[in-house]
Amino acid sequence: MRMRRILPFLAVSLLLLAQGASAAVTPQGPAFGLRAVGNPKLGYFVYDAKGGVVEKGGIWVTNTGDQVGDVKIYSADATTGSTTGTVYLTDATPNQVGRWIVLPAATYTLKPGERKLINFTVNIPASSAAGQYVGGLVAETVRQVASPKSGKKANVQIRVRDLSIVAVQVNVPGPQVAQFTITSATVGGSKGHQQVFIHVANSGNILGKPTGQVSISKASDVSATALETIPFRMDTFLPHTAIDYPVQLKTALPPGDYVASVKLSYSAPSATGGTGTTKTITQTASAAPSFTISKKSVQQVFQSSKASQVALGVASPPGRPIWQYAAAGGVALILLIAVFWLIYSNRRLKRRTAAASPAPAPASSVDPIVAPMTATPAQAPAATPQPAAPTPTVDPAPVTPVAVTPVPPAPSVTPVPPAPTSSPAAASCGAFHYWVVDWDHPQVGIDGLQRYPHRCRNCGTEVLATDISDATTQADRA
Amino acid sequence: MPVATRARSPLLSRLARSSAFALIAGLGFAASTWGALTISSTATPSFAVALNGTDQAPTYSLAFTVANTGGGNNSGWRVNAAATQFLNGTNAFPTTASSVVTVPNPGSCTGGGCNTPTPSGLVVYPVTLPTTGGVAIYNASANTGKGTNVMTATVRVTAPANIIAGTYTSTVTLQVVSGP
Repeated sequence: MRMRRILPFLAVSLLLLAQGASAAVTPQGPAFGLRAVGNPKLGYFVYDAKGGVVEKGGIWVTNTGDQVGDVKIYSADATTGSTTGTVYLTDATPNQVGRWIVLPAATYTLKPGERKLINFTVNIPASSAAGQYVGGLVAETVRQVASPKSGKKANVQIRVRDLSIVAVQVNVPGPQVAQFTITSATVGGSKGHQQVFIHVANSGNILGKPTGQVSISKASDVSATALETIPFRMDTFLPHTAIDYPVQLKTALPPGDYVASVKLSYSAPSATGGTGTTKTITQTASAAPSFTISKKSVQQVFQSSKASQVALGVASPPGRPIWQYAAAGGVALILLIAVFWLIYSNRRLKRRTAAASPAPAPASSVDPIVAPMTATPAQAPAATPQPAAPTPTVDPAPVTPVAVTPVPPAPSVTPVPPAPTSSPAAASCGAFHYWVVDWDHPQVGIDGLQRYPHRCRNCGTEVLATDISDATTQADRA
Repeated sequence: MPVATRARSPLLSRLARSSAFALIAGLGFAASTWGALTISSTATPSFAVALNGTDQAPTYSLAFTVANTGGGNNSGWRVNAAATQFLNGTNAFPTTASSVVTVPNPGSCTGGGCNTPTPSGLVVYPVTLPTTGGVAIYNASANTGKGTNVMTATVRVTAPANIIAGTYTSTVTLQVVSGP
């Protein structure tokens, strides 16, 4: 009976122990973590306070590593990251919330498992305007990991800094304004990923997480169906900040003039009041900035610095449409297959003539093995990738770069740079390969380099290569 | 005499047991509140570039451990990263040379009550690393990523064809954040 009463107590105790014991999986060396005191569920500090008020708080700093080490504690301002989301300016002298936070900035030495409570204050300036502000408390492990020098010609050393950060959000009461502004669009990207950068600013005074979409149209025909429409979801966007938000294009755009119709939706308070306590409504912001894609920018995205290579065939001489190149490639492919077939048929005929009886076979007889091959030239056009597509810009089946499927299985350790599994259609591309790279399935060769499946969207050539330059070299070699 | 012994023994054992349970409970409670959000990287990431006159894009693996222990923090966490420009004296790689290609979900976690993180879907790869500040490379949804999770980011570096032989150095900053 007594044991029955004790058992739940024991179970709860063991559960709590097990939860805490997760820190037992300690990394090698010192490692420092933070925990906000008094706000365990949210994990960070939120102060609703007027200007001129001083707030107090505390953080636990714990050495969760297995060695004694030094930790540096300091404060930092926050801003919006280039892909949205709150990031912390740990290399800069704080000017805003990071400056409002007053703590005994110092370096502490803690043993494994040891922790220390650090108290701080947040001195909100009396002149602070209404709105939301974010900064952070930072624990930096004073330890740098440097990789050894490699034996190659260009040695690379990488140091790593580990920072644990707890945010400090200050909500100064007053009229709340949710407002986003879209001003311009540019194009860029690299390594086969073409991106449109939308310049967006949070011109309000509160945090936001907008969602939206961008529709790309040709400038000459905006009223027509959009070439592509891409939805997106932003992370936290801090007030009074602006970024060039990157949107990955599903289908590559050739040089030309375009319009990016952007629409943002975001929550906004319906009336003035305390932060987060009022009803919210959905507001929208939209704009249609135009942008131009130059041949140079396309080259930067889709090809290496080798001047002899041109991606996608978009850098064709002015006035000559791309589809002509595609059609020419298709015709060349058909001719190539026809030549191979003729040579093959001729050789088989000679062999059969030599091995068979002296009586020659009638010219009209049809070899049952050769017969199916007679259909090859007729089938060739169907196998030709995009034989006479008027333009490669509107792809009926958009290709997602990371979802390349027809990659042949390869050994996990590649002994040598593998020979390309090129198809006869490779000849249709020449130097104009449009590589789609499966970055999710790298394979490490014995030379230590990682290679990725590359597949030319136009001709179907598949190779394992470190980058598109390597892929093109391999394809050319084949 | 045996009776007296029997009379004292239950009392002592009860006291001992109560003390032990109180101690265990206290330790457990303390351990649960002692937890912290920590990031640590003990690996030595590296890569080599054999100069051959063409642009190259080698990759390296950047392993890091995120421990979100105790405290009952349910709001998830985020990992931001930045990489300073690769420098060798006055020679340098481009400022946007480093980009994170992928950060796969860990297959397992350790620690009592742990779970693996679920990405929020707000990070679209590849993510070009800025030289200062940071950019989100992984965003764990609320109520996920508890306990200790070992993760590995694949970082691609654009090495231009015209780089000069030498030793280039870059500093990668990893931030694990509990915040809005």
